[in-house]
Parts: sequence; structure tokens; C-alpha cells
Amino acid sequence: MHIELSDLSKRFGHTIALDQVSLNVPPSSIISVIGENGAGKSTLLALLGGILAPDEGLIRFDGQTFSREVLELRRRLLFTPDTPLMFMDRTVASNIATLADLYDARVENHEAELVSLLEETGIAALMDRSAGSLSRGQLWKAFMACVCVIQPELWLVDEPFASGMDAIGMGVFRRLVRRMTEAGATVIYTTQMVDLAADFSDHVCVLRHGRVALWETGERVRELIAAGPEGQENVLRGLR
Amino acid sequence: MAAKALRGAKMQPSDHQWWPRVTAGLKFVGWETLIGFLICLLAGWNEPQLGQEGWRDFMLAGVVVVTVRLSSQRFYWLMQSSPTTNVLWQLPVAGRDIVRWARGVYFGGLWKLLPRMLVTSWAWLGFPLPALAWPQIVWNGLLLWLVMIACVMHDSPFSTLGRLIAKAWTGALIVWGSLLLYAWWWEKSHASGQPIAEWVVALCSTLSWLLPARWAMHAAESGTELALTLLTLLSGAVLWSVFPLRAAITYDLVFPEDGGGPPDTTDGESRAPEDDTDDEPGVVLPETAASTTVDVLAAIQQARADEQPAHNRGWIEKLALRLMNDRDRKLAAIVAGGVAGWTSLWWKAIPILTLLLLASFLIMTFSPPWVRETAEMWVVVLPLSAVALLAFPLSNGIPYATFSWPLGHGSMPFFAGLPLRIHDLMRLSRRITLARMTGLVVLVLPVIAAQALILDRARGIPVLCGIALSLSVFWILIRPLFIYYRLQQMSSPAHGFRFGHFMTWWLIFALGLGIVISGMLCVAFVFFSPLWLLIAAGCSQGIYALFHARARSRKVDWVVSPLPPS
Repeated sequence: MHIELSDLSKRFGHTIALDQVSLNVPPSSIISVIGENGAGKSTLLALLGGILAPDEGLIRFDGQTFSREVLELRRRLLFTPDTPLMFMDRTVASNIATLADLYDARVENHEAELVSLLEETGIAALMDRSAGSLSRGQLWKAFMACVCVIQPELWLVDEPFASGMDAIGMGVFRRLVRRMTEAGATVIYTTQMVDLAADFSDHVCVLRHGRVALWETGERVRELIAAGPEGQENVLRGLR
Repeated sequence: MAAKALRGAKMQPSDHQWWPRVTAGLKFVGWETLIGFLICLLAGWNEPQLGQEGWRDFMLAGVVVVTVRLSSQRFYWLMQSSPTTNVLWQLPVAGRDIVRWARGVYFGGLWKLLPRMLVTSWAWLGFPLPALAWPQIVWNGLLLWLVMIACVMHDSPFSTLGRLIAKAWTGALIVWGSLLLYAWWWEKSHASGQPIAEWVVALCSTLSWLLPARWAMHAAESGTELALTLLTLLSGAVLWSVFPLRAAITYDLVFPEDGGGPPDTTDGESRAPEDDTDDEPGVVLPETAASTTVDVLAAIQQARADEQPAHNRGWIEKLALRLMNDRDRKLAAIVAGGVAGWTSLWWKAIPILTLLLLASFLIMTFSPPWVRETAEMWVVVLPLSAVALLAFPLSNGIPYATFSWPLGHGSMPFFAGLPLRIHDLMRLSRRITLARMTGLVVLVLPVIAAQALILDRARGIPVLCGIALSLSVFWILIRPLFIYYRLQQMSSPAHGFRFGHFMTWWLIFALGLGIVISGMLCVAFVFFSPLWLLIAAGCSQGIYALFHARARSRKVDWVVSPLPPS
């Protein structure tokens, strides 16, 4: 999916959350959105997910203007806030089945990958537990099983590295994202961790005061970080 | 700044301070005017037969108790659930200080209840000329206000006596509400000016002794009531003063002063696992790995099958599903919460209605005339109330779609994060309402016919059934309005104009006008009903369509409180 943001702006009262943000996101890539607190990262993700409406500018997916009421576009993306959207009073198995149905995905098509993910994360033993009884990290792991089945063309994830998942879960997350992008999907995630973003993304977008301060490849950002003791802070400031 | 916050003051001045205050002030004046008007009606301002002392005592004392209940809800919300206390309970602050803060904020807002107490006092005195009787009106009003504040502490869940008092007042309020219906029926079915039945006045007089406001109003006339009033005020003052210590004992066990905080419920390892055989549920033992593939898929298929238990689906649920296409059926299973239980409630209504109608028949056939006269209203009200409670489709039928989901510092409706359009929700809700309304009509038409026969008004059956059908169709047609209302509660305008507020007031005006016109045409109502239904459907669909158009044009934020930038 080719994603284009043109002069995207969003205000909350007198506070400018995003100011004339323009981006061309290449398909089949991992994009990390980083920035200081209050830079507009979650706002950008919520705009891309159709939760918020832009005050100015456009979001286009494959050339088509995005609105969440256009089902054909909306079904191609999966928005994951900092608490994954799951039915808390249903079991993990029911959640996988329900979300697969919502996205017209067939569990059987991703059987091997799903089983492997469930075993690796330990969620296989919790299939009959209700989602509401899981810990935060377990909830994220169960949600990754849903993502594995849905296989969205665009996955928007808010703060996956603050999800509470252990190292195993984070490893599974990275491998899942890599497999999805190799299959043609785009994954955009937000994080506060500059080094992590640089290591795990094809492109890094740095937001500062609602504007794009830096748009570089992950490799280039790693070089910037390594350039000096204040490398990470300089990246957040948008300094090359 | 923190000290200001503890006193309940805002920590940050907001821009455009005067306009929100003006609108809040206008809203306050509007509401208090309406409430004052209703209080005067209760006390018989325009119906002298309702001005008898016993009736007035009970009705107006009931107003004070209702105010106590609503006011205490606000106080407990401030103490337990307000956004500020949600933060304060997480900080190393003593529970008693938090309760004191809540008490301070609550007391600071109590002046808003004074106007209605003054109106109640005026009504209690029999509507004297304010210019002449204002000292007595003000004195009694202040006394009522103080008694109301004291009663908030008496109506308390923290003591056995408080719980007993709460139960007694709840019982009195149920009778109070029933008597409101009785008064409405009496006015409709009797000549103007005819006094209400003596036994009703006697009942009111007796029951009013349960309510402290009555003692306060008669304190000047009777030593007993004076003593009871003073006891109420004194005990209320003592309870208010010690409340922070008493209540905080409960909270400080969970939130100790040293800032230990609540137990971490987000870490699964610290929760008691449901299955004690696995110490580490995340580890899959090698000997079970071989069967995991079959188990996982079987679990998912079983879960899918469990969501659609055909044997549990009643005829109303089946009818709703039959009205839907394949995609809607799939969505209904998700957002309507699976098996809804509408049919089981419908079946429960049948024996209850049978008993009520049988009792009505026996009373109206075999009891003396004065009993029949009084029972006539209950013969109508009780069976219809039972039908309404058990079969009326009040909700939109899609609970899972619209509950709140945390998003940053705010929340969003659950459906906003899923590929669900608002038009999907409206379509589902309308079909569910149609199916449930069918169930209601199947019950209510025979009940109306039976009631008409019991009350010897068989000639009115066609008209009454016509009105019932007309109202049923009306309820289905205005479903888009309820969907709009729910959605606009869960969203904010993306920028500028407060569409929701404007449409809400327009809606109130349009529906109010519709109801007034219908009331004026009540005799020919049935014959004009197609036009009325058309207008109602047009208004409802139009409001929803405007909101839908705004959502499609990306003018709606699906957040309840706007996100701060992050």
C-alpha cells in the first residue's frame, strides 16, 4: 500500500498537534515515528487509522482519499492503540475468530504461522482464558495472533515497545513485522526509543512540535546516533 | 498550585473564560426553572385538589429526598470516581485528605440546590405572595436545604443504620413515584376540582413521617417534629465532620499513606491463576506440543460455534437475523453480544401478564365500587409496565460497538478501531429494534384488548390497538435518532462548530413541537398518525443523515475527550 500524507494538520483547541506534515511512505516498509513527548506521534497514528479527522490536508492510500467510512480502505488497515482492541469478556480463541471474521480473513490460510506464534509466546495454553484475565503483555501476545491471521496491508501500532511484553514476545513481534513487510505490508509504529527505532525500521520519521524534523533511513539514523555522545538527543531535535 | 488543586480550584486558567460561564449559567437557570415549575405542579399549583396537606407534605418531602439521592451520588462520585480523585488515590496522599478534598468541593457546589429548596418552601407554604411572606419562605428554604445536606450523610452505605434508612426512603420513593402516576390518572378521569381519595391523603400523611423534610416544615408547630429536625441536623453535622476518618479507614487499607499504591493488576504473574496446575502458563511442555496444532484450531472453531448457539436462539433473535444479510449477521454476532436473551424475557412476560390480567378481572368483577374506582388505574398501568420492562427495546441493541476504549488520555468508541461503519451500526440497530418491536406488539395488543374488555370499554379496542401500533412504528422509525445521539456522545466535532449541541437543541424543539401538535390532535390522532409518523421519520433520518455526512467528510473525531498531542 502506498501511503501519502499531504499537508496534514491537526489542532486541539489552540494546541497544534500536527502542522503541515507531508510524507510519502514507501510500500512494504517498516516506519518508526519517534519524537519528544507531545510531538504528535500518537496523533499521527490516530489520523492514519481514521480515529481523528485532519483539520487540513489529505491522507491517501494507493491514491484514494482515506475516510474510515469507506470500508474497502478501512478493512486493509489495522489500528492498534496502546491497549490492543480485543473483546475482554471473550476467550483468546473467540477473539481470534471474531477479528478474523471482521476482516474477512480465514484462520486456515495462516494455520502454520498462527500455531507457531501461539506456541512460541505461550498463548496456546491460554486459548480458553478470557482476554480480560490476561496481563498486559499476554494481551499483546494474544493480539499478535490476531494480526497473524488478519495480515493487514497497513498495521499502525502505538508504542509496541512499551507493551509490557517480555523478550520472547518482542522477538516474535519483530519477526511477525518482518514477515508482513516481506509479504508487502507496511508497518508504522511509534516509540520513544531512538536506538530501537533505528535498529528496527527501514525509515525513521522524527516529529518535533508537530512537524517532520527528520526523515531518514534506519541506517542513516544509526550513523547519526553513533556520531557523538548526544546522538540520540540530536536525532530527536532533527539535527543531522 | 497543588494547594489550590486540593481546594478544588482549577490549576490552569482556561482561555475564553466568560463564554463557558455564560452558557453554564443559562443552563443552570433553565434547569432550575423547569424543576421549580414541576415542584409547583406537584404541590397543586394549578390543581387545588392536590393542595391537601397530607398530599403536599409527602410530595414535597419526596422532592427533597430525590434531591438528597442525586446529591449524594455526586458526592460519592467526587470521592471515588472523578478524574481528579482517580489520580489522587494513586499518589501518596492520605485517604482522609482526599475525602476532605471531595467534601470541600461538594460543599462548594451546594448553593446550586438552594433555589429549588426555596421553591419547595414556597410551595409548602401554599404559594403565598413572596413580597409578603419572603422571610418565612427564605427561613424554611434554608432549613430544608440544611436538612437535605444532613440527610446525605444519613443515606449512607457506611453504616447499618444508614443502609436501613436508605431502604426505607427507597420504599417511600417508590410509593411517591406511583402516586405521581395516580395523580395524573386522577386528573384525566375525574372532573376538575374533585378532591383525591381520602385514603390516598391519609397514606401520604403517614408515609411523610419517614421523611425528615416533613419534620422540618412542621417544626414550628410541633415539639416532636422540632426535636426530630434538630436531631437530624445535629447528627448530620457530626457525621459530616467525622466522615473523612470513617471513610478513609476503608481506603487507606488499599492505599497506604507511605505511597505503596494499589497492587499491580497488570502483571499476570501477580494474579492468582485460574488453573493452578501451571506455575508458568507461558511455558508449553514438550509432551503437549505435538497436539497443539489440532488444539489451537479446534479451540478457534469451537469458539466460533459457541458464538452462534442455534439451540439457544429464540424466535425474536431468529427474526432479527432473518432481517439481515450475511454480513450483518456476522456483525450482529460481534457487536450485539451473541445470544441476546430477548426471547427468554418475552416468555417470562407471559405468565406475569396472565396473572396480572386475571387479578384485574377478579378485582373489577367482584370487588366493591370504591375498590374498582381506585384499581382502574392500576389495571391499565401494571400490565403495560410489565410489558415495557420485559419486552420494550429501549437500547440500540449493539452494546459492544459503543463502549469506551482507552486511547491515550481519552477514550474512543470500540467500533472506531475496527472496520465498522456507523451506517452498519444504524442498520443493525434498526433491524434489531424491528424484531424486538414485533415481539412487543404480539404481547401488547392482546393485553390492551383484555384490559379494554375488563374495564368494559370494548368499543375502544380498535382505536387503542391502532395507537399502540402507531407508537410501535414510531419507535422503530426514530431509531436513527438514538444511534445519532449515542454516536455524538462518543465523538467530538473535528473542528469549529459544535454540531452535536446544535442538533440536540433542534431535536428537542422538533420533538417537542411534534408532541404538542399530537396532543392537540389527540382525538383525531389515529387518523393523522401516518403524517405524524412521516414527520418523525423524516426528522430522525435527517438528523442521522447529517451526522453521517459529516463523518464521511472527515469532520468527526472518534474520541470522547480530545487527545493531547503525544
